Amino acid sequence: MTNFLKQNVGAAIIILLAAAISLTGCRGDSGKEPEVNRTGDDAQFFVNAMLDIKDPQFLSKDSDGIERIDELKVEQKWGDLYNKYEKSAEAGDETGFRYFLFIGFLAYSQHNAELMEAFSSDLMPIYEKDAAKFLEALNELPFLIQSSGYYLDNYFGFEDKNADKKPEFLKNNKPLINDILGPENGILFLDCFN
Amino acid sequence: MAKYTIKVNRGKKDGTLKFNQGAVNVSTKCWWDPKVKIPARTYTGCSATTMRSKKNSKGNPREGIFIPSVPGHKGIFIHMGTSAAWSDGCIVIKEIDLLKIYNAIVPKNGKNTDVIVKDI
Repeated sequence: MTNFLKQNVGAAIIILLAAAISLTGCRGDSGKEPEVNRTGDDAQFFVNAMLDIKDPQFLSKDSDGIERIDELKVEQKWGDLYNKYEKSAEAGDETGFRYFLFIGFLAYSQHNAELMEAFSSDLMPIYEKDAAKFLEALNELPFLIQSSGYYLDNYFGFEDKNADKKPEFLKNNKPLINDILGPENGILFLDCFN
Repeated sequence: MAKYTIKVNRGKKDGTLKFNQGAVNVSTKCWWDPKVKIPARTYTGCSATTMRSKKNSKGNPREGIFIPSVPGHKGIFIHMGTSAAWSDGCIVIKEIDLLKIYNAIVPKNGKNTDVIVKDI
């Protein structure tokens, strides 16, 4: 995973910084923020998480009076964002879908067990809903291949379900995977299904 | 505020989780992903809470014990599960036992629980 991170975190940070800057730049003066600004706030949260920046909204004093990051509140925020973008991805929203995959990338790179377990259950149904759209996103954003592939592979057997369905999945999906991802990204993706 | 302690004794493939508080005594088998073991140590400031991204057997937010400050890991919980296949780093026990512990710890989100993980 270390090489994976070295290769991909830089690209991911650039994407998120650009998203945070461009989306927060859309803030209006009306007082009520439109949906896009909330997305910008979320992007800021992702950047802070990636760069290990202590967000003041999550600071609290411990029993010794020392200010520390409240990891429980941070984890609850991750859970809220997971739910928000999972719903958005399920509804077919393109931006929400890509944010959802990006949360998966962050969870994978930071070893976030709660989110990794959630993705292992929930990502396959989204893939199956529109496999071509899913694979096209991965082809455009190949740094998402390894994390997404991990979750899709982990679906088989996770929580003692669907353990016997992987061969059929691979048989049915290999042609589409190779067609959309091409030889290089296709191998990278299929290698996730160990 | 009351303090609580959960003891996790890990063997090679599974282990035993113990919790004793007043009339609530739990001693139950536990599992974890053998590829993603959290370090054996004492974790302070743990909390009974619910997981936002996972559901319990009734379709409600899954109950769990959140373990902070785990080196190299985030989002570590003790939650329901019946084998290592339910884990990608978390420690899992049967739901009925998890609920006994969850219900005994008050307040929720209280950072009032120590989890002691030992390899035996």
